[in-house]
Amino acid sequence: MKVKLSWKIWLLIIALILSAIAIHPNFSTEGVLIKSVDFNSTIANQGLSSGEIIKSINGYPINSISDYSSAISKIFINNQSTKINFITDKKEYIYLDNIAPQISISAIPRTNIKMGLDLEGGARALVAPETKLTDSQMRDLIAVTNQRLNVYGISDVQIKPVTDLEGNIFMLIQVAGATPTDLRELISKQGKFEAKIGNETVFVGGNKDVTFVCRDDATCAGIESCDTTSGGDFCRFSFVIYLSEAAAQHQANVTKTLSINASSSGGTYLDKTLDLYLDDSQVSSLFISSSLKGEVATKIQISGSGTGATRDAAIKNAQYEMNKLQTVLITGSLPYKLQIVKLDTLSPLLGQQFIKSILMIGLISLIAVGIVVFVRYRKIVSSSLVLLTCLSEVIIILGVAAAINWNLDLPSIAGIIATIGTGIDAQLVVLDESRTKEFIGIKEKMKRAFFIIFSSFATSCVSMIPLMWAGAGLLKGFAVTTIMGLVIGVFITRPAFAELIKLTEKQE
Amino acid sequence: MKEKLNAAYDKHYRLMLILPAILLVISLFYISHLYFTTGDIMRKDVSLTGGTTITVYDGKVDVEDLEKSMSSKLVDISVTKLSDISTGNTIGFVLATQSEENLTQISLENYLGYKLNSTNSGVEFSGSTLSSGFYQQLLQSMILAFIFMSLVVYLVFGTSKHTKAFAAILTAVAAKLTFPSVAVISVTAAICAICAVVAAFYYSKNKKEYILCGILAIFAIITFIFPNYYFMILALPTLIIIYLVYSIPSMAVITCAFADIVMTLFVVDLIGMKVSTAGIVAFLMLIGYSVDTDILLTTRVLKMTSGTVNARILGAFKTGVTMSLASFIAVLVGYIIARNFSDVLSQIFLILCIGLLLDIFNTWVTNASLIKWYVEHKKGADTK
Repeated sequence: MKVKLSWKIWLLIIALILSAIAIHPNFSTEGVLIKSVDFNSTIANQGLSSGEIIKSINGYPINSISDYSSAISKIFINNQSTKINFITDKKEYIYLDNIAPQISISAIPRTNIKMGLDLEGGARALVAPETKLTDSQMRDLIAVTNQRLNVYGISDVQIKPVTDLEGNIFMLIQVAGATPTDLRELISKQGKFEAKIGNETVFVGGNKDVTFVCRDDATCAGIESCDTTSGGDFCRFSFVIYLSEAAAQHQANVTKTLSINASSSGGTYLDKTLDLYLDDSQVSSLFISSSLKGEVATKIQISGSGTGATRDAAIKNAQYEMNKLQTVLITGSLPYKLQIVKLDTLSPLLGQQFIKSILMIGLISLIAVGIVVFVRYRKIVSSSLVLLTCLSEVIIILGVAAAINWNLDLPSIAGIIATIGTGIDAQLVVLDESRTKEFIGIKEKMKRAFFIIFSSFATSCVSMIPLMWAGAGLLKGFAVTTIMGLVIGVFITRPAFAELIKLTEKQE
Repeated sequence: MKEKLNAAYDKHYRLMLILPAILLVISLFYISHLYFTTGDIMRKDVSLTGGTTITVYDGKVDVEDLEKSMSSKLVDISVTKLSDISTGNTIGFVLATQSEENLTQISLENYLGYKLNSTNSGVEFSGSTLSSGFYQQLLQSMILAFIFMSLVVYLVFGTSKHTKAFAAILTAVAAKLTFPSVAVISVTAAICAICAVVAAFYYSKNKKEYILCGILAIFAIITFIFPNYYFMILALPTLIIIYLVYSIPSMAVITCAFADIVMTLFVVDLIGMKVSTAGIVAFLMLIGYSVDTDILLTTRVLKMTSGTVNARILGAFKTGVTMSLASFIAVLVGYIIARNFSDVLSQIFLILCIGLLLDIFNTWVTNASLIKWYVEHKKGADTK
């Protein structure tokens, strides 16, 4: 009889075990996790991918981020080619390289629960195109933006379209970890690159016209020279690009019509310059050697400059400008004009503090509720059952969140708190119904208790639905965790709780 | 003693309704006054008006001096302190203003004398168009959530089947009007509306009811083809009339939830709180919380077979007050702790605290009186 009755309790136990597996608490401290691998780096070509755990490099055991950086500094001395033996949890990689592997790493997370940006730190931007886009246009925009951020060296980016109630489409960009300083510039500027001679556009950014852009290679890209002027320091950079046949032919057709001028320095140049424009403002103007008149030249040297108050600042600025120009030359312009409507950069510092405080709120609230329940019923068993049920509800919510890869952000946590509130309410209804002095069986009483619980469940659930879409989905976490918690409560924890109460009533 | 109390309650319970009525009128009056003077029913913070919030981890800054010297440069500024939860030490501050991100950051950097970066600070910026859009959508969501909740209450406590179908048609229409361009909702609402129309015809018994069905079906078709939010002006009063005419207990629950929200908003406005997106979420949460105890009360009074009405109300009262107190204490603890480190959470908790206290009042004064009145009246009508 007892066993037949308690399948609901078994369901709770199974749910708890599955949740524990989903959350997967990790107590081992070996290795560091690879968060991302730079596209096209040597190590990426070896097959290393994100998600692997580094165990050792060239025999140095790696158990923390500082182990990793000290090993790297010992292995790579003065840019010499070195044999690298990289052991991860999946494979062993052996290769030759002269620079440190281009990867970003983090400590191995303690659990599978993922925290949202507002708890873990990072940047979040909501970008609105100036014209209304169709779904496929939005996909193009996201692809180009993704490529641009990757080329620029920002890893760990998530870009997705979001729609709000009015049907506006936004692009939501989320960057985990430290915030790149120029994120605003990178995503809001269209990045329209044009090279013009006179009024004629000869080529534009993107792989249709530009087949190759030299970067990260000192033989064809870098800072050329620096000068000190009255206003500060000034550095010139240059890098080589290759044009497609068609673009080179077009340039030859334009240069053919130009005439030759002799310059004061002795060289001969064409009478018009090659002007480079980025988002309609001129960034550089280059003299064209007279030898190029009418020539189909695919190799072109692009140059520009950076300034700064000190020599270091000027070099940094020049590198920054060079990187910007290289990025738009590789990726081409974004297909639409964009406007950043929301930009949040969230420091990871606060997240630590938050998690600590939220755990404390949960614990103290639970104790306070326990006291209220105990004062009312004077029964230690039922009161602790109420608390245990609440606790298991939280564990199952976290388990489901981990299993479906849900990012727990601040609204989600507020949702969990909301669920616990209604959870306690429902359990008190069960407790009280079981204690009414009516002459009907406990089964009938539980039936009525569940009528109340299901009605409350339905009202709370439906009132959360609108929030799934409102405000471009930024508050979706709240609705999702609340509904998740309510469903878990109604179908798993509360029936089990009612069963447990029946058992204790019987024993009395 | 017990009998005396019972007799006194029997005599005066209708008179007790004056209290919530007066409070509701004052609340509505105050909120509409605020609406006519400021153009809105609540004071909004930067997450709803648009603007910048900068959090700086620097415990040594004099917050009052900062606020004084920045107020000339930035629009509508407010500064709050952050402190560590275990030591109580100040660890930083949050500055919120309606000014643009760049201006705010530069002015703050000038005041502090150092650069702000992602390790010593966090910046949140929302454009004003986006924020006012958010605000509109959140308000509309709240209205829709309320309509959904009302339908569920009516489905649970209502008695006439064809009017339940009528209410379902109108609720589907309201969903479509609120989310005209969300495909999932449009499809779901359309399916629900069709099913509800079929059910309405099935349960209708006389000519009058068939005509009403026809009118509602045509109305639904028109609103699905031309989803203009102004159609709500027709849908909402019709729903209220259905609930009022066909199920007083449901209407009592809905009225209490409405009174909870309005009175909470009144208190929030009165203490000068600036409501954020999180605050509106708290109001949504309150809809769910407040009907819990009302459902408990109504079920106990209508579905229990033993005991007098007063005894059933008292029994429900014991359970309900324990429920509300447990929730209240949990959110109060949350508020006291969160006040030190998170504006978002502390606002949610504070609004819930206010709402839960008002809910105790509304459930056990407003709803209890209404349901008793209804049961006594029905008993009187039955014996006649």
